[in-house]
Amino acid sequence: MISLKKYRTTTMIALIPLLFVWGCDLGYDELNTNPNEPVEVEPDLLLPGILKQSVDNTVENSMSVGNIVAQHTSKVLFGGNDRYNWQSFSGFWNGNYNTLRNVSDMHRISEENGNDNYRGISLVLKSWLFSQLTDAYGDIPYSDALGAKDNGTNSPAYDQQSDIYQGLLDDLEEANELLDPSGMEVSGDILYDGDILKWQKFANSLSLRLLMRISDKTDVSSDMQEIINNPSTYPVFESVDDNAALTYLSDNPNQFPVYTYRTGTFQEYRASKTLVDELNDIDDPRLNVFAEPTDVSTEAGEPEFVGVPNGLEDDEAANYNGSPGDQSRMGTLYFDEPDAAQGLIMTLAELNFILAEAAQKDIINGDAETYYNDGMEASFEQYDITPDADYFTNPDVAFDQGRALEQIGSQKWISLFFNGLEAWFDWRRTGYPVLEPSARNVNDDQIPVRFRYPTEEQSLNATNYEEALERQGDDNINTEMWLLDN
Amino acid sequence: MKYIKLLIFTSIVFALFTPSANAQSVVSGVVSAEDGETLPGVNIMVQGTNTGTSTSIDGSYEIEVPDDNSTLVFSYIGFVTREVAVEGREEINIQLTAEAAQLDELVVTSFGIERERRSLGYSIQDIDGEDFSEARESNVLNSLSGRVAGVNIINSGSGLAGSPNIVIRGETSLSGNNKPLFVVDGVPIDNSSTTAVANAQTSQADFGDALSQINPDDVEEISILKGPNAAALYGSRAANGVVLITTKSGEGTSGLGVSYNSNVTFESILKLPDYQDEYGAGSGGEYWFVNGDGTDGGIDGQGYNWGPPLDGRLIPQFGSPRDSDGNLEPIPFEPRPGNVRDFFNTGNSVSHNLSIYGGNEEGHFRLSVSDMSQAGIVPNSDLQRTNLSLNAGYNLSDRFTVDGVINYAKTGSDNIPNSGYGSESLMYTFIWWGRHLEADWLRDYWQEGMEGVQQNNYDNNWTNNIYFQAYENTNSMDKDRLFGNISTNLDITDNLSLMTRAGMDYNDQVTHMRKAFSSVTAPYGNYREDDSRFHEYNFDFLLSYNNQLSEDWGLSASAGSNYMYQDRRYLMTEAPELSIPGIYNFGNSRVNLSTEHFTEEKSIASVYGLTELSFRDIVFLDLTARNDWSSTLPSGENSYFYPSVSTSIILTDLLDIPSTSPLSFAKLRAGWAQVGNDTDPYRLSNTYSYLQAWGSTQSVSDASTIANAELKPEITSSYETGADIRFFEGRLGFDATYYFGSTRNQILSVPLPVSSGYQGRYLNAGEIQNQGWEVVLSGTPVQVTNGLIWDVTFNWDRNRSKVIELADGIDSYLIGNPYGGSVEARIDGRMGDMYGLVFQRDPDGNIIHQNGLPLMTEDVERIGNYNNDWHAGISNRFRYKQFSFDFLFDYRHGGRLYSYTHATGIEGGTTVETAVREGETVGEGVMIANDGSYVKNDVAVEYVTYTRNYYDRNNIESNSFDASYLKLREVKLGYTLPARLAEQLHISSATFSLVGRNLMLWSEVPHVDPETAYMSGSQHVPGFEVHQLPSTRSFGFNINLEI
Repeated sequence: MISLKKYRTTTMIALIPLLFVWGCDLGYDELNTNPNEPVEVEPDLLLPGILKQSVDNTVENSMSVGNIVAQHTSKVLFGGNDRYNWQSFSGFWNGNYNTLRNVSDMHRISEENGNDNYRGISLVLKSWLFSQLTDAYGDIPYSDALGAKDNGTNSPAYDQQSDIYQGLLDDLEEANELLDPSGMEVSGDILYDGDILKWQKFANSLSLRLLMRISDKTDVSSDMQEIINNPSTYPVFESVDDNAALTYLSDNPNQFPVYTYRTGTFQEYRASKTLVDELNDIDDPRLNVFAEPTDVSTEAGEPEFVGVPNGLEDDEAANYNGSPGDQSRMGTLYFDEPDAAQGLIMTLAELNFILAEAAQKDIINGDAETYYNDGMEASFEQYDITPDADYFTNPDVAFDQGRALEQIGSQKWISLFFNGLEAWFDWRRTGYPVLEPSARNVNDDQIPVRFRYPTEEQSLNATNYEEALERQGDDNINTEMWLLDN
Repeated sequence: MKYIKLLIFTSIVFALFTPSANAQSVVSGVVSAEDGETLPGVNIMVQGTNTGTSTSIDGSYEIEVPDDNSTLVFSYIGFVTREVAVEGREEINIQLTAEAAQLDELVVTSFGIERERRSLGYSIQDIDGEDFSEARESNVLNSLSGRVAGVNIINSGSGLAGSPNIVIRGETSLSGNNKPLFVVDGVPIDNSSTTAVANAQTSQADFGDALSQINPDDVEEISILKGPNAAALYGSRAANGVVLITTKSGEGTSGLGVSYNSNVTFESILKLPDYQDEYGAGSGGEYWFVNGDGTDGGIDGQGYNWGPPLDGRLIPQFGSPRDSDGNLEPIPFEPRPGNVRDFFNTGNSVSHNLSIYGGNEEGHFRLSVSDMSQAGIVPNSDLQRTNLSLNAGYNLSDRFTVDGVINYAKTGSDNIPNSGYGSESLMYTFIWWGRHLEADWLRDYWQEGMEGVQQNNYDNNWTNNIYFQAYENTNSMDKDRLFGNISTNLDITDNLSLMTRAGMDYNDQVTHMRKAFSSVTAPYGNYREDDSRFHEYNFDFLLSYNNQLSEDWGLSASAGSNYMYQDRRYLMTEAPELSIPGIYNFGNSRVNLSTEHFTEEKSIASVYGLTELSFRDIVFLDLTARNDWSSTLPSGENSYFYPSVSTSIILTDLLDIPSTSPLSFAKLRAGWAQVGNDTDPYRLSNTYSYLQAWGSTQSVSDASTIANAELKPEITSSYETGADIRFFEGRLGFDATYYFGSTRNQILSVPLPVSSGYQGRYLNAGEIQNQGWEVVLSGTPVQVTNGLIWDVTFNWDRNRSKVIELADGIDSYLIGNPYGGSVEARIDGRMGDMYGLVFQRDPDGNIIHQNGLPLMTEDVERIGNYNNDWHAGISNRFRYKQFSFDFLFDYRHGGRLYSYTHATGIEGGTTVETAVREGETVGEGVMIANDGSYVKNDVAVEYVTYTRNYYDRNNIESNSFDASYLKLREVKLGYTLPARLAEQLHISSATFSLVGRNLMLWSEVPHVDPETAYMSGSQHVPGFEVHQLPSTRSFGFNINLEI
């Protein structure tokens, strides 16, 4: 058949009636084949996008909710989130599930072509992203999720959080087995540059995070102990270079997401009074990273930090302590430089604080104090800061058996600055540090403990959504999910 | 281009003033009306020449004719034109008959076939070209507003090139494409509009649609084929109706003619937000300027007008002089009423058109050149257009003719301003703009010593300096459009003819968007270029048979085929950051370029046939059938057939009603039709889409919408019935139509919960039903023999589009979610239903308060519908001798409009609602008592706090309004030079008109013109106003000379 793509007026005119007679082979299959985009790809093309989108999503939600509810930062304009007037944060849900679509695809492709390292990486990422979702919402579509294309599951059922946790841990176990530093090469890895050992460490460290999270619900002692005892089988983070933290690029569009905000948007945020007071109390040099001294004090030559209480009304906040110039903004690191701040997923500091808590609670054998000190060291190293020697002897900092859990909780909270929703998740579980509900909150003086499901789930997946509510309770920000329901 | 025009003009002038042949004889006489009264001012021309005169006050005339075989043409407004052969006579006295309404008028229907209106079984309305060219709009589509029943046009308020939204007989498509098909001289043209979004923000520039490239001077007529019945033969794309544009061809003229038209208009703001002048910028009653970013101790850079009163107190401000230490000196904090208005200019538009045309038995031609140059109300904004068209036909023999028409349009602009919500949008900026500011303070928009690098602004957090935005962050464009066709017509026998036609539409468009260094959203600047190219080719055959079978029966039948092919190429390139300020070139990119690129092809092959059967010219029956094969549908499902049938019965003839009765004409018509529709290319199989590369690491993503290899065509079926009744020899006419349509199997991206991994799946789903009424009343209430005539046309329509069915398991389909709310189709709801948060109310409907403040619902509720309940237009034309006076009112009743200007104006303390700030108030409504019952709210809160809560920007209830409005669309006062005078000037006619468009607006919507629509990509979302540019009125004059 002639190619109609190369029309020739006269030929065309002459041929039209003939074409109809011949039953219309108009070359349409070829004409309607998309010449622009591929039908099949290798995992290395999926991995960079997965990592960027998932970490961007983490950073953005950290900025807009996580830091605020954990009282690392406060809001002086458009303060709805700070006053617990929480809408459903569909961006967090959609972002994670959209990334999981590609994670699941990467898993399928790597299974088909036998690259176990991509398969392992996809399981690690799957566990991390689903854990973020279930920690924020409780029951979520998990085993049934992501199947619309492959098996036509348009409306996935919600799994119980306890089952989800089991699945996440099983996947991480499998990932640890699949990942093989001497196995097939991996490219497109913008997180670890193809270093499979680091992926293994991330997998096992994440296992410890998740085990600690459910430690009040179930006995995780042997599982945690097994990981600690077998570092060759279960390597974990050993240096800050192992941190699961994305280093951004200096060039658009791969800069730290907050760098691209308008000045005004960044100026809506301040360092929280809770954080500033705590760090001032213990004379913690990390305050210089997280926040800026007030402009007025800097100009006067005596820089000082003044945090703004969470949850003030706009006018109240604008005039707090005099004027905006008398308030500490967030560190310039997060706005003035495109690639100075990392997108934090999980750090060595956090791992050490997990182990410190586990040791203190006798879940594992080990010295809580050592883990605690290692945690602080790791956090300082992460920010390239060397504190004064007397920092560690400050009675509020030096390990004190009598209030060890509070100290561990407080230092962990500091180390989790701008680390997604992790500080909030952890505060929910441990109650540390002790936080007061924000000033003008509209949530009956309660700090929220979960996100509301996005409204799209209510309308597009109604039956399963209703079923989850029946199991879990009302879809509001104070409902205690399985993890918190003691 | 200018030189070409000059050349043509000069040669024409020479040709015209060459002395004509010597006169050989003189004819004289008297012209009178039927009642014997003589008629002054009747125009008399010798056919085929430029010789002409007019009758004097007693109706007498005298004219020189070249020879005895000459023919005189007598024309007079309101009377039937008569041609009289001289045949050697020296005295010719004639009577002219008053023009009855044209009972047997011809209308243009599908494929440009002219048919008698009486024979049509469906409704068609047409508009004469004059209505576009005298009081003109740069986009001819806007000129249709209020003139055609059943056609809703919304000027979107997106600026100079602005693409209006047009919907015929209501919205039928869930996928959002409700645009009709546009056909110029028988060949479809693509009318998709192009907008481009400024990066990281949602403000955008509207670069216009195809109709904005059409020269009003070239339009002979526009016919609106409203329903599928009329449009059935145009196939898939005509399901939403057809706008049929016929350009002037020179056909039917004799001899050579030259026409020159000049139009000059001025534009000013019709409606600007009502700003308050009591309080200036700041927060919590405090303000002092330091550096504009809320640091270094200043309360500035907030974007709010909640500062101190503008009572002349001394405050350091942006416009303050500096003292010797470089500190800003306190100056009076004063109101600056009109500071926004001062920024805008009076716009102007100047058009010239020159056309030469001619015709005889052998053929005809028309050559036209035009130039339009427009300066917008926003400083440094403009639009230029040059059109060149050639339309010619030649009779190669008695039986064989060839015709060709080619139109070239070059459209360009140095700057199309942004509208919408975002730092690049001026109206956005003004809503957060200090009321204490003097526009002049910002005129020097670079910081001294940092020219080209750092703008000078009073607010560095949210907005750009308005002049910096206007002069540096420009969006320019260049469009070249070429469209036309070549056709041949062969009369094989007296009854059988064959038409072949090849048509082309070619559009090449490049837009450039620039952001200078220090722009709020682009500290290192930004440069983006969108390059799109589009071709469409149409090849047609039409074999027609036409015969009067017997005295009673007439038959005409046609069969044809069409092959349509289109391709589209798009390339977007962006330098996200620049290296050297002020150089907008991709070589100057500081970082990797980002790009977006696609090519697309589509083709539809069709065969079709139609028969028209008539009985005694009293009963008419039309049958049509068409089958399409579309490349976008899977083989097996890509062929779809659809028929139509319509009939017309002339009751007055059937019942033999005598012509002396008051009822002069009555016709009933009815029709049923189906139209199939396809989809966009490449929706049958899944692909991966590209993401931005991570440095040099490429990345893709599994597409979020699942393709469907089993799509079927959409089907629209409709019927319509109507009557056309005229009284008193046609001086009063009444035409009414009822239609009912249903669109099924719509091809949609049906939403999925994203937990399924995907956001949508292409499916055939849903059904929309629409029904409505259209009424046109026309009449000539006054027609007196002294020449005074008053014609009036009134049209009215009402449409309801109802959602009958959506996809399985879906009870709501999101059509758009602009700021502040959403447009959703819900089962049993209407198309255009608006949803959003509203006040919580007790069972008696009282607003519930907590702590003295009104509460908002957690879930969205329906607040109204953006479609007006009904539309009406009334156009009037008075004619008296050489004078004519026209005016057109356009009224839209009902419907709702959510105004973001209203919401943010109050939030920012900028608009007049916030002028009073003292005291406390107790909100009207209830509060919940301790026992859970509702009691009267008695908690007093500060007035300001209450107001800000009441008008929270997410409250769609308190920020939306009855969208009814009345507009004085058009006024024209025309004077035509008497023929005698014209002859002395060696011209055949001259008309001078004063014209005005959109002169007055009556509406209850505050701050903004309710005729507005939010642009989401290239799709219009009516019902939501989001900082569109202010609407304008225009006034000026038009001169038309025929030589």
